[in-house]
Amino acid sequence: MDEILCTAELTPYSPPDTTSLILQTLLTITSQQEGAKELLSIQDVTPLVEITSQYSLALDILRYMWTNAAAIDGESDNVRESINRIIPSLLLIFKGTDGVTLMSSIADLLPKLEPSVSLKPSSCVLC
Amino acid sequence: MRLPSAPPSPDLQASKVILKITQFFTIRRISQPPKTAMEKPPSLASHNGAQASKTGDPSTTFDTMRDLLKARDDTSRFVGLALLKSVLDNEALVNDSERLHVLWEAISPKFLDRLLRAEQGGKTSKEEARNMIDLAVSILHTFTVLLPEASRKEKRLTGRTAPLIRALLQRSVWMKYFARPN
Repeated sequence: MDEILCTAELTPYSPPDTTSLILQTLLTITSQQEGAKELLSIQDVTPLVEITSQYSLALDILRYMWTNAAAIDGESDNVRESINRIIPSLLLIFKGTDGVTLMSSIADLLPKLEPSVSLKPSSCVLC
Repeated sequence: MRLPSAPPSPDLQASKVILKITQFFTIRRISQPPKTAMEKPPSLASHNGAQASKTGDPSTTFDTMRDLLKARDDTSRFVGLALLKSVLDNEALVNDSERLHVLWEAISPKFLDRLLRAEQGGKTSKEEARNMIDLAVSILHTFTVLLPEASRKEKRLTGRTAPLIRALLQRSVWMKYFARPN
């Protein structure tokens, strides 16, 4: 008797036009504290992180998220945790590139973070 | 072997018809009557959609859109969004912040989320899924540009963040069946 096998193949598919519109929308949302906090609360932002090397807007969104959420009372720990979790992934994504884009984005981010986020050097991967 | 269930898709009864209407509206302005005969879902007949398109009366169009967006069935909501997308090119509506606000409040956030989750599979083709996602993304993008700051802070917009992230990675599930010979 024939054995029937069944597999599911997942194919990433996101047309550039749609992606750009989504990123612009997310940028506007994270430009405000409420939106930044909302994005911060999402545990898995892998789809966003994965395209940072192709779309600079994605990197900007992450930066806006951290900067604007850090200004909210009580969110410092969440911001720190998010940075510690995402930066290593970004390093992997930008591996093989000259790293200039990522480094300049982080350099832009650091002065804007509230002091409370980077006060504990041992727990912050950026310090 | 048990078949995995198909990914959930928005419950659109007449999705193929609706998409034809969507494509029509994105090409022509709402004020021109359609030249080709088009099958319309029953719910449209009571909304005077054809009347609005013949007269080009902004008030009628506005009322039509608002009623469609607020309807309970997906078909009407979908047509309402498609109508809204084409009308948002119209400067008169863009400058009318009060009407814009009414329409924004009339859109169902849950319906937008479902459109953003559209996947190929079951009754939905790849093109249909893509059109649904594109429509939701287009509407959201336009409103982020047009809405005042106060509205942009509300959950009605910020709550769409997670579905937008997921929509960055549209997945199409291809079921492959292999028959292994003895």
